[in-house]
Amino acid sequence: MVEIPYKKIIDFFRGIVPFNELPHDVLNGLPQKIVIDYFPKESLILEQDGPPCNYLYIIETGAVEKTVRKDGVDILLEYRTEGEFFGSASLINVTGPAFSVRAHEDTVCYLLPKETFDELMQNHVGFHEHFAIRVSKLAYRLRKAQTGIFASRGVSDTVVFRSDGYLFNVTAGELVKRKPVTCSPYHEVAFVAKLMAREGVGSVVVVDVQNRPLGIVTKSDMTNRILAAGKTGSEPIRTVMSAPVLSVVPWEPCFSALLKMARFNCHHICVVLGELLQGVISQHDFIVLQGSNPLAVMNDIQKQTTVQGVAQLIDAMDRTVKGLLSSGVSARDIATFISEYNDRLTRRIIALTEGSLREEGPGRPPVPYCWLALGSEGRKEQTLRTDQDNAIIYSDPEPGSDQDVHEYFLRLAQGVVSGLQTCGFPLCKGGIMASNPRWCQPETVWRRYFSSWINKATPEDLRNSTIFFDFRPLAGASVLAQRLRAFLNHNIEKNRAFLRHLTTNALYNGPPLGFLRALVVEKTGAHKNQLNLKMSGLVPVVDAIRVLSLSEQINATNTLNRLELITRKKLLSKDMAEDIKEAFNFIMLLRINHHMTQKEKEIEPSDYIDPRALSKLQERSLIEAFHVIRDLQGELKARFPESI
Amino acid sequence: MLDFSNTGKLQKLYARHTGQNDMPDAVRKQLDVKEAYWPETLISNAPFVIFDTETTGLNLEGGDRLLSLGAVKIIAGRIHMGDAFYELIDPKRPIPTSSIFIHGITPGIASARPHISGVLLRFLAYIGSDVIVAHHACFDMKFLNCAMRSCFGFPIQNRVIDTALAAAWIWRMEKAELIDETSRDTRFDAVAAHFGITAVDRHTAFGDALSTALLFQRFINILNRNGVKTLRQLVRIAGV
Repeated sequence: MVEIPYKKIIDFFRGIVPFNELPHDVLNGLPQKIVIDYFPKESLILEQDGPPCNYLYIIETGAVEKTVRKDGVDILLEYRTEGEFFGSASLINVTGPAFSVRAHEDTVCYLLPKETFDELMQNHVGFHEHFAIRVSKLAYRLRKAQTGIFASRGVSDTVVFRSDGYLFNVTAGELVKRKPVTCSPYHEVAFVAKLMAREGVGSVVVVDVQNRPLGIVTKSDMTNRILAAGKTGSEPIRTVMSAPVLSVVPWEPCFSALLKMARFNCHHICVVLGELLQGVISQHDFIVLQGSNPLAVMNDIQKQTTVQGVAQLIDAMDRTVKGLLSSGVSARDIATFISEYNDRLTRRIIALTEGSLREEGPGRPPVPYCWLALGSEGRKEQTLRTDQDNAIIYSDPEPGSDQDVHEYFLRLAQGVVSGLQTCGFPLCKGGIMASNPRWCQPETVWRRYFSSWINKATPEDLRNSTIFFDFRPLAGASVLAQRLRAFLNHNIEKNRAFLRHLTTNALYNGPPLGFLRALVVEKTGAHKNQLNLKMSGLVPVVDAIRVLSLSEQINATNTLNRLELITRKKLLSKDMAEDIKEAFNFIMLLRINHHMTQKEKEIEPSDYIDPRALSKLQERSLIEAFHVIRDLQGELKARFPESI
Repeated sequence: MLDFSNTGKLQKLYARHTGQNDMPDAVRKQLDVKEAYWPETLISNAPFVIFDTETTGLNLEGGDRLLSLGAVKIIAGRIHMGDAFYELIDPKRPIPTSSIFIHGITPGIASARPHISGVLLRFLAYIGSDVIVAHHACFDMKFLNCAMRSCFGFPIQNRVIDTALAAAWIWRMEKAELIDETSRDTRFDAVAAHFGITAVDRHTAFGDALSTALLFQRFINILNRNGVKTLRQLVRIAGV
């Protein structure tokens, strides 16, 4: 027989440590020993504590993930990819694998039988040494994982296997499992129903001849819009489809897709490249990916008919947020998610309160109104259920009806505020709530407030500006909020001196940096040796960015969004903006983590931390972040020098 | 006594063709292949021989012949590299220069090789009664069976699976192509690329057999997932 051309396989082994050190004849003999196996994505290759391995697995193509199970939670140890191997510890010790190995993607492995492996271990010193060291290293990693150094971020009852960072690391494109099932807008309903049945799908995308998505039809559309509406199967599908469709580009993280679905209350989203349909993601895909559907709670909020019902969902929301936290999310994403939750919850409570007012007698809102979120809620930077900051603005009523209208909205506000309190949002100690008659006012009054603050700029006016100027419409007629924003911009433009006052105010809190880059901590008092993350880290950034964005009539309220727009207007250099973003994110995340730990220990959350409790790396990053903030303040000072 | 069974028929064909009654063991094995085929065997357990051939050209009737034969085995979903088959064959005819560029087998290399009958004997011994698999198997089988008939008087008795047919079936299954069902490229390179296989050593019988095996390995999996579990089902969708 002709010699079998094993060259490719030999070359493959030759490229791998420690096989590269084997003598030629041994290397040349390897291919005849191996078996090639294929593991489709997500299949289990080795099971923790299962039977001992009979092979050394060498990954030819693909990647695997090693996980160790602890307290019912799978902790990701590491990924192994092409040219790497696994199974050696189990082979050497003849014990069951200490971890599970799962195919992270479709994977082809070369399997080297135990006898061959043992032979190599016995006869080749370098080979033996390599594996001995490797096994001890692995044992170290495992110990670390089991003693909780790795696990510190993983333990949470909502974290199930594979939730680790998936929402953020997996792109929308990767989540698409199959080619989308499509039909033309002119297909009959009956045809599409058959198509769904044949393909076993819950949705069909309606596309034009160029494969651009026009709309989507789901199984529930079939019942709701066709059967329930008494239509027949000969109806063209375009009359019942939902259009337009939501879409994401394939490289967006699936979290964005999730947020979009949350915002528009949809169950499906199209993955679109250019204009062309690539696939469909449904909420179900997230259940599969995540083990839980982060949107399920959001959808449940909508279904509640009482404030108590809403309040009962709080725990589930907290669990989901905790799950997200432990999956290594950026602070911004968490805050966005929490805001979405809180917005929905607030909207639901407003709707419920409006409803009960309608039943109890006062009737419908007499004039259009808008519920405003203020402060951190207005900036979408909430991380915990912090104090309420809200207000109502309503259209100027007909002369004479002022009192009645004011009373109606005050009643509405009282209902909503107490509802929010039931749901765990404490009342604002400063009384900045819509239930305060002062903050439940018609347009004219709000304009008066704003222009008076801008013109007089007393310390109290400035304090109010920092809370109120971050307003954002949350429910009702958002046009009222938009008009107020336009008014604000116009007034600041007329009176730019105000910006200097605001700057002075923004520079009041500064990063606690001492000589030689050391952190400055409180010298006395209840927080001796601690520093305040919020006041000395976050507030200075938020304040500085607010001044800059007000000076450019930027309507955004979220600090990072403002930062982006400011950078686009060339107020800050790109590099600096990037640094600020990172610093802000880092301190945010540090704070969230701090709060979560305190909450677990059932301590009242505070913003004070002891820098000595931080890891060296964290401490260094914090100092770095504070320096960035100091630079930002310097920039601000240069732009708006103090008024003399 | 008259024997109307398949075995008897093959024996008669062999005797008539070769003028001998005594069959070599490898050929005798072929008599039992049909008996040994058990349609309810699970494809995830079954042994398969995945093979490929190189020929002097595409035209069997015009005198083109086999140049090489390569094969590997899949048992229970695993490719066993130790149990591989590779032979070059002396075609006993000139090798067209144009084809040398494809398979790289020069007349010098080939003429030092055994004649087809020896290779076939070894191949028959190798495949035993396993189901054999090739991409566009019809083509390879045409050449193989032509050689079989000229050497032993009857064609190969093993069941034959075509991975191109399997690929087409999977595509039909996994895609809802309402628009264009006709122009699917089932050439090996296109299929391999679609299923994420990087084919190495293209156009050597062994390299292609190995690539086809890697492909078929995935198919076993996909087919299983889509309800094709037994040889009987597999033959129905991809049998030749």
